[in-house]
Amino acid sequence: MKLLFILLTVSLVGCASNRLNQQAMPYDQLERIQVSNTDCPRMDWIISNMETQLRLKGLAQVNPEDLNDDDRKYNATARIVIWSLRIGCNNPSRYKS
Amino acid sequence: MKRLLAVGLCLVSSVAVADCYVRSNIKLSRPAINAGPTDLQRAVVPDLAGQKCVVRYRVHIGDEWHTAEGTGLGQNEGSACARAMDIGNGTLLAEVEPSRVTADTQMVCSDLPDIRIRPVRIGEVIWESETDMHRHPDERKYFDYKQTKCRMFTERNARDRNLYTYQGIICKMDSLPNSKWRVVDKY
Repeated sequence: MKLLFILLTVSLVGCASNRLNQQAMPYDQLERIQVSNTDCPRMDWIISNMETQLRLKGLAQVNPEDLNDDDRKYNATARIVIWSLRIGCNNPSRYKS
Repeated sequence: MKRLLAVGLCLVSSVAVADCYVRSNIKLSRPAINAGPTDLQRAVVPDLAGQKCVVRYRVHIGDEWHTAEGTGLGQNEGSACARAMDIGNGTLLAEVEPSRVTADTQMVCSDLPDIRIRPVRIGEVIWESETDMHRHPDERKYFDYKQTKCRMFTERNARDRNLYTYQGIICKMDSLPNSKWRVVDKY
């Protein structure tokens, strides 16, 4: 019975912490993210992370005209990170003069 | 005779509904071109010499898109349209000099749709020059994404007394010169 109680408690705590992790990153944390060509080896992971943040905020498939100012800023900031990596890493000569 | 009359009436009616607009006539040097020629449209009609071809396409010069137009005659559609690209306003792309852009305007009548910059939405299929070039020159270059030719654009939009500037990505749908583009993202 004790074992059952411990297992139940652990699983409930696990669920709670998992739900906490499913909150989108706050905007002030998001806007501090800067990427460069040194991030190219892990671009897939970073893009996936940004897409997850957008999904959690309900911004996965949106047109910016339909958003309020806060969501528009959040959406643009995350997508700038995504496209900076997609464009910069796949077109290395783009930003060379 | 009836058939001839019917064809004649069709020709008259198609001429009668042609849209008229003021066209800029541009002379430019190649270094001034930021993008294009793109959004090639053409209309071919029979002519005494064979075929008559009117081409219209868009070229981005300085800070805005311009429409270039040329008319050519040929024995077949290919040769007529090839000449149309070179004759009249079409020759502007072949000119290396003068080094500055000069322009005048004239009234032109044509059935080809007039392309203008307008607000676009994600997923929409558009002409390339319906979006503006990016404000930042470094971001104007074309790039590859998923084996397609893409570029960034900016869009200025007034809403609720505020001016919003969006940017986005458009990608060409195939490699043909008159291919349309898809709005892949906008933010």
